[in-house]
Amino acid sequence: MSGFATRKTRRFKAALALAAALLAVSCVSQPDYYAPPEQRRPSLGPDTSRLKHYIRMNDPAAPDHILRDISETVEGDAWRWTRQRPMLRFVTPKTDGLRLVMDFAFNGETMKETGPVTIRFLVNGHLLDTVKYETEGAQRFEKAVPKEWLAEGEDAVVAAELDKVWVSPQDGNKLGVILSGAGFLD
Amino acid sequence: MPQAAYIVFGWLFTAAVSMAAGRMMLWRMGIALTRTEAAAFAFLLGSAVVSQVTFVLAASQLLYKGVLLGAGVAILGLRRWIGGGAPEEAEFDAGPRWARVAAGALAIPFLVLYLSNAMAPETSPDGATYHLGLVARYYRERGFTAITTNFYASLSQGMEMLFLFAWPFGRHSAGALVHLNFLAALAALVVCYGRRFGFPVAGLAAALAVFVTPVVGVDASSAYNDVAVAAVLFGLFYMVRLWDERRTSGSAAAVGVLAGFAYAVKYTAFLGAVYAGGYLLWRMWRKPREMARACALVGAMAAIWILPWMIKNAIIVGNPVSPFGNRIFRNPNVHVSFEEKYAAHMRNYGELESNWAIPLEVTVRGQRLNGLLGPAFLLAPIGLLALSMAEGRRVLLAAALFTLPYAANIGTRFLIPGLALWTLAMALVLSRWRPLVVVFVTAHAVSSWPDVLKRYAEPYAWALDRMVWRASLRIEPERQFLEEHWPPIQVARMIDELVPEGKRVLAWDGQPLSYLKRDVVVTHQSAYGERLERILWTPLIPELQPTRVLRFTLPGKPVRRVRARQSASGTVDQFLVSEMRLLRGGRELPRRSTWKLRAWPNIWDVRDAFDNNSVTRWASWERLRPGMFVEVELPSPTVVDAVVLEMPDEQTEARPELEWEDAEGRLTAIGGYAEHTGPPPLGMRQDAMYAVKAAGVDYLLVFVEGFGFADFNGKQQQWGIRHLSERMGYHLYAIR
Repeated sequence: MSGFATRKTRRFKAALALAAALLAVSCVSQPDYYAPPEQRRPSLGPDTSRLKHYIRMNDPAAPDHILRDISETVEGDAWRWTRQRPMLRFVTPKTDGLRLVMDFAFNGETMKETGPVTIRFLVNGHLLDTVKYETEGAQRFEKAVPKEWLAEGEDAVVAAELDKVWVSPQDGNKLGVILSGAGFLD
Repeated sequence: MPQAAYIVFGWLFTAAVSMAAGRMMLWRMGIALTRTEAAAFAFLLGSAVVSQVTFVLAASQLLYKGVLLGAGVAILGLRRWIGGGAPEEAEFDAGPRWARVAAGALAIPFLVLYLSNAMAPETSPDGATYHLGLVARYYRERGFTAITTNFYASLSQGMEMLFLFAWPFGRHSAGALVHLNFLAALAALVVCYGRRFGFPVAGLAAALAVFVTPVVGVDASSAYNDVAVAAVLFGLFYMVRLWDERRTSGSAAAVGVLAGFAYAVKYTAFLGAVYAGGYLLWRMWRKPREMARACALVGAMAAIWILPWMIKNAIIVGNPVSPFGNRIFRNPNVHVSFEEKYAAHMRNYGELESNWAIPLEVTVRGQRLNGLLGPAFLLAPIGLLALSMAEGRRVLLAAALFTLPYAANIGTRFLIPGLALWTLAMALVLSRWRPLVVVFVTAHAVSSWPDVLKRYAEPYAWALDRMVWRASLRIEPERQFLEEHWPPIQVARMIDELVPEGKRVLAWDGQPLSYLKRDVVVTHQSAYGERLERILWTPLIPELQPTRVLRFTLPGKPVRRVRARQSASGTVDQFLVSEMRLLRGGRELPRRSTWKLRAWPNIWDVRDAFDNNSVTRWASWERLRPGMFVEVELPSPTVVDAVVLEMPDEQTEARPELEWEDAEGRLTAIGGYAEHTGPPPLGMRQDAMYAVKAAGVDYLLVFVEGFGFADFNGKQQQWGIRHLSERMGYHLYAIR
């Protein structure tokens, strides 16, 4: 093996050098920082718009959207009682391809007394649909809204009219549905 | 010239050049061998050389037909000019003539079956997609290009370099035939090993048993690399033994070449180098100087084949062992979470109820683990009796070592690298009673023949099922064969017809890249693809939408730096921030180009948390760990009275906190925040397609049963896509 000794030593050194070079290049230098990229939309932020296109009842901005017949109290950190003719307002940044969405539920106790409930859904005074609900529990109403009924950047008023509500025998308080969110989605 | 002739030329030219290069190496190394041994070793060593020559040409952007032809002719000419040959030894006892005749009679039908299938148009799952897909791309682009969107391009590709050498002449089939050569070399070496070390019948039986094994046959007849790994590792095992007997520099150098080439063919074969190194250390530890010399020689030779692949990866994807080791070699191309998910999947294939199902799957059923060894291998434990023999212990030690990667990937073909050694151990035991070994091999051969195999294996077991000579000889044109028997080709044709050159397609499933000229990126094959998949799924999955809004209140003093970090350790969740907003007086501070954005880990996506796009988000792409953060450094102290984080709901375990630095550099941590659920943003589909288009994708390929198809197809206007065509359930859309 002696004939190979010198060459082997050289090769060994070369291999060591290569290994060192490899380690050096493989420790990928991460960029120290990046600058913000191009903004997809004007940077308005979450709290700068007066009204949203959809609101959950636990959102701090929910009271701004409520026009009538919805409780001021958030129950269970998520929902509010409505009365007979809840009404909300929204702003839609576009008018095309939107659906009115209302997430709500019927309480089993109240429905036992009221029986099936029929709700008329209106957008800016236009009747969108009338639906009869016969079972308790969670419901979602959703239906496409004709774009002519909406105006970009302006208030859209949404109303739901219940044909009957539960009336408290003690204080006459009226309870409609358990509302968790409403608005426009695409 | 007919296409079949080109295929045969590509195959034989590559084999001849490999043999010539190998003969010169054997001569230079002065290794005395029998004629059959010399042929097999010359092929292996020469293949290593041809593979490396092709690597150099690819790295030099010199992949032209003429250059490859010239390189091959030069090697053939050099061999002829030098003319020297390695010293030749006399053949050893070959065992009884009847055994050789019987083995030949059993092997020939399988050889014909394999040739017929290897020469047929390539339709193997991995061969047609990435093994040859990358080869086709390298040749089209005249060499290596910086492929960061397909982790397969980061695996070592020593075998693909041989396919590439044959590609300009014989395309797909020449590659598969080149792989088949390695099966011949493997069988020859097993036979020779038995003869040289005094158990010719066992060697012959083991060689034949491996040769007819169904998964070995289908793998060797495809443009894969498992049988090549098996041949190189067995050659290494064999050469280590020869070195042990001779202790010459030449045999040590050959050990190094084979160890390095094994790694170059497949990462998992790095164990070849471990075996060689361990063996040298064990045998020479009493002579440290000689040991150091031998190890240095083996290491230096191995490095010639190992380091180029590492350096290529270090340069292109920032990780020398990509797609593994991403926690150590952090890079933007492969996520840590992907590596973990992929490794977990390979350990189970997502289908096995328990590892106890493996023995039957890999021997009899063959469907869920992609291939079968044949029921005869249910007797494999018999091989352990070979532990009573010195030879058996040697063989079993290497077999166990080379089979270790099976724990990380339980596909049947991952048993191939150690299979010849396991089979040799079985044959050593069985050949004590010759009738037994004859029955074993004959029964195995009969049960491995396609017509018999169909009777017991599962219907979609990966195995050869017939001769296809009309297609192999191109009497039935390749195009016609593929269109009639292989649906994926229709999708490839659709893409090539409708997508202009230079445009990129995003797909969810692997496509036959070797038949495609367009750039198709598959979502799960890179960090790039995974990010885009998340973006496209965000409008469809409420949990991905940034509806969780956290508001941290600050005292309203000048702030230099704000960091949102999290302090939980999670098992599944990642840390995700869709948008991070700095507010003053209820209004968001406009993001300036002078802001410095940072994140740990995965700084590369930090801009996604500051782009005002509802569907992009910064993600850690690894499990929750305390200290993960996203931060903004402002160019000068600025009054900020609130910081808002918008996050997806899918991270339930993350515990976000805020840390801010005042003008004097004092850090203050804020643990509390107000949280509410915001509305799903409007226009998410347009936002998604905007981001996808901005990332360089022009087309989408969606399978009719794939997630989101109904939404993509039904809401094209909202997505901003246009349906172009459909083939075999795959719908192609152009992004407007």
